[in-house]
Amino acid sequence: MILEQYLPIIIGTIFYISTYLIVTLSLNLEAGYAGIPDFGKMMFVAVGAYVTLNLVPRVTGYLLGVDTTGLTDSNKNIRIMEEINSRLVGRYDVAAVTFIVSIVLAMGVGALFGYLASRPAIRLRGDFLAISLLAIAEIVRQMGIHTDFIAGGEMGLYAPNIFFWYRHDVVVALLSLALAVATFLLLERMANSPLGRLLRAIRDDEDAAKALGKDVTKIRTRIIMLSSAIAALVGVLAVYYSLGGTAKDFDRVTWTFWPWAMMIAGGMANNVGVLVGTLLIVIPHQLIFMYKHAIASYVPFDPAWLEKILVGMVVIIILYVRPQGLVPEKPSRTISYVRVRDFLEQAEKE
Amino acid sequence: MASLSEPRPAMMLEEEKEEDVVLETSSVRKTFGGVVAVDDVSIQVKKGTITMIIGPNGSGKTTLINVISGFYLPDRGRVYYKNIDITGMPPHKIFELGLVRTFQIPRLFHNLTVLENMLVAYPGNPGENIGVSLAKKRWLKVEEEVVEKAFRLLKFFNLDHLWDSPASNLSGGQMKLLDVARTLMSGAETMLMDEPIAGVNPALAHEIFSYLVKLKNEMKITFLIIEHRLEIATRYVDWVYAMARGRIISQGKPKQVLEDPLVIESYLEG
Amino acid sequence: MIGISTIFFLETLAYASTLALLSLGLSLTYTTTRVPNFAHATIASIGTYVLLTVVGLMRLRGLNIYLYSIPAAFITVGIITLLQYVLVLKPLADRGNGLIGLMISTLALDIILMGVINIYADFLLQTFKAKKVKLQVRDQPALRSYDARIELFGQNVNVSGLVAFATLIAVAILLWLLLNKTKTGIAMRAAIENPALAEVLGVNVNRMYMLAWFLAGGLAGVGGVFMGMVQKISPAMGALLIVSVFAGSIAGGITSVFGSMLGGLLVGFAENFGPYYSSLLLNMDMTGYDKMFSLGIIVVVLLLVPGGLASLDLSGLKKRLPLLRAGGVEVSGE
Repeated sequence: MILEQYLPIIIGTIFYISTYLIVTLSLNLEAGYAGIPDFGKMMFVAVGAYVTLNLVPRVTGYLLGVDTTGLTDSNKNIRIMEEINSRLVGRYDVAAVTFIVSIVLAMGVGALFGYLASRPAIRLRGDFLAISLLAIAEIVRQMGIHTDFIAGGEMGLYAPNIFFWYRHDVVVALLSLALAVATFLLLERMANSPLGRLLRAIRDDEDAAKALGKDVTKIRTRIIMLSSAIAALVGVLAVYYSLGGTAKDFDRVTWTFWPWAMMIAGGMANNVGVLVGTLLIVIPHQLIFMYKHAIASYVPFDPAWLEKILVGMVVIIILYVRPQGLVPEKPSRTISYVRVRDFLEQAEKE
Repeated sequence: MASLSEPRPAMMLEEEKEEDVVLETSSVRKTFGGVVAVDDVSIQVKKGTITMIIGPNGSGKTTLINVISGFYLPDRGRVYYKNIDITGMPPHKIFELGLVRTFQIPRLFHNLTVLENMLVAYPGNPGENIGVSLAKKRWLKVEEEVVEKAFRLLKFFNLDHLWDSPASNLSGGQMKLLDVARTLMSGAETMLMDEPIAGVNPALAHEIFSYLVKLKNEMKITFLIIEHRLEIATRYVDWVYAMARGRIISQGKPKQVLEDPLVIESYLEG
Repeated sequence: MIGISTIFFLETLAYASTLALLSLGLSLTYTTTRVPNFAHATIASIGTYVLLTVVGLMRLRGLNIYLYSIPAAFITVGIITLLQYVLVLKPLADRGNGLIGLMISTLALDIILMGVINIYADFLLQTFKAKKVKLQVRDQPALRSYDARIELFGQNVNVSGLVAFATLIAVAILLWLLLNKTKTGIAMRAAIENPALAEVLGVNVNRMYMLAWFLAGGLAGVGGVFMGMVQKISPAMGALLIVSVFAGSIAGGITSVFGSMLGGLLVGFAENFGPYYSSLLLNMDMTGYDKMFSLGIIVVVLLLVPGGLASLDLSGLKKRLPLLRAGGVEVSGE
């Protein structure tokens, strides 16, 4: 009984923790490790969603023999999607292909956007890169809202329900959790490799890294591309979770500032810190959401504004009190501590 | 690449073979908007020696180092390293040949440990590639070799006990030593050093130079050093060039150059 | 102007002057702390809400609007921006935060201010209801109908464009006089160009920076007033405006205060006239693509002249080209 009552909120919490963890981990790779100030994060999540809303249903429609002309026209979109969804039931093969296509396309387009958006300022001082990424992201969002042919404009678009065989929200939440764990393991492995060390070095002093013969621009570009591809995954998950979406869903506060806040709170260049920071911000958010009405009776305004102010203040206070975050950076453990000690003793004996 | 095919005087080649010259500039000139910073400078640095360039402020020493290391393109003249014409090569290519410059203020990676500063300097670690970084098997062996080499060098500079502390915790002198160690780790055979003992107390300055001499003797490293503090440096170096107003005004053994009236005069003016 | 009505031109002039005021202020703060203030546009929208409050509660019309709201916005927003420097940026910089930390703090402040403006809007809405003021607080159309009107080229037009441009010119002259002819201004320039040396010469660098932040905020507030006269008023108006403000500063040269002013004007005109002319040219509706023109300016400037228009030494352009190609102007590093 109680479980049934709380199930939606539990599923929602799993979904938000997982998706924010993926985005914040990818942000940590570029900003925490490599020192790239990506203030346009929301754009990479958004393009993943745009791809899933706009390109993927055409593939699904083709496979099911549904005419998808006028897909981005909000009047036709709902009818096309109803047709696709009714034919999709039972077609596990098409559902699987649709899912794989969404992942591959979203990651590819995400990487492409990462490459293009970083191009103008990748060689300049970090603040120029931050400004241009933020500006491009705002414009990608505005284009999505003001034109119909990208993501259906103000009305948004529907997405096929490829998880027709069970409650789609449960499946997407669990899938997100699995992807979050995979992303964590992957990036943790990367962080504890010579690459993780090199990225931290470039972040500390890029001129010194250049003097040591490192091709800083190339490495940075590749990291932005990888990080953006990972972030685009979340756009895919968000669309399948709510079976649709609009460009409005991907704004600067929710998909740029929040991941930054989570990373700053938890600790930059530390994936465990990112996990801590994500939990620290998503769980209170879910609680505020749950008890919104209760809180609303105490404050004479919408509690959502209060939350924004609180998160903003938490970031500033953490920067003041503990700039390194709750869980500070650690050396990249490429080989075990014990093994390193062996080498040390060996050198001392000689 | 006209520069590569440019013929060089045969005589010079022979001379080089005899005396084992590793780095050489011939009639290098560099101007900045009409101001001549380096004028017709030809120097030779022999393998396994410490060569020093002295001169008052503004005499063109640092500009010369920047031309040699590829940061500036000379207006005229050529630079040869190991018989290769490196004039106009980008800095990272020159770096790959083993000719590495250090900066006056050591630029360490502050949040990395001493050992990490060493490891990251090693060129061409396969684990620095995004794809390969995930396959530990493919870089572990190299990484272990690099760690071994790093510890040997750290021990040489007596920094091994500090291996796990962040570079920002080191003293000024230790930072300078780590900078030298890191440069060696990067595969440097010849080091261009811009005032390695600037802002260092005399005792430590002597220690740093002793290390350089030890490196020269034990590892056959070649040094070209710019220095101001002649009273400390001269006893460690093999050959001295004196510059004034962009030109070489004297060269020879340290004692010889320091007693040259032209050199004394230039310092009085400067 | 070919095919452009007087009204459209004047509205563009008001918008472009607003951007110029904002870009100018952004550069002024950037030159002091070397941190781009991502909250700058939201700070300006506080000025818009000062306007809305003043117009609603004092029931102002015509030129009186400017008479009361400009000083009120200048002082209110100036103080808020000064507090940003004193309470947030300075302490964080003193605690050793780097560029990324300082930038994210301005982004955090942007979010905080957005929350504050929204809460204030709720409060204002109740006050307006109680006092029977017929104004919206979240989706209020531009206050055009409240503006004074004059005859110009045989047309009856709002004065906002002319007032905004006149204000900009006055600000430019006063600022030039301040920076070049007064002891305080010269001290401020010294503090900006070489803080260490200025400190030695007895200039209180911190106080100069405080003055710069106050002025920048005040001017943003004034810009906010003009914004409310020509654009829809909503708490989120700063979110997209920041793109145009940065485009102006980057186009003019973010380290050059007067260059940024010109850059702001340029971007303002490009955003309005660009879609207009390209609609005619391409025979399709280009409204809604206005920010694409700012983006185009940012991209072109960063790729070709990262130092902006102010860095262009036209007499020595040829000589500079190789330097620019090597990224000699604002390349990362120290």
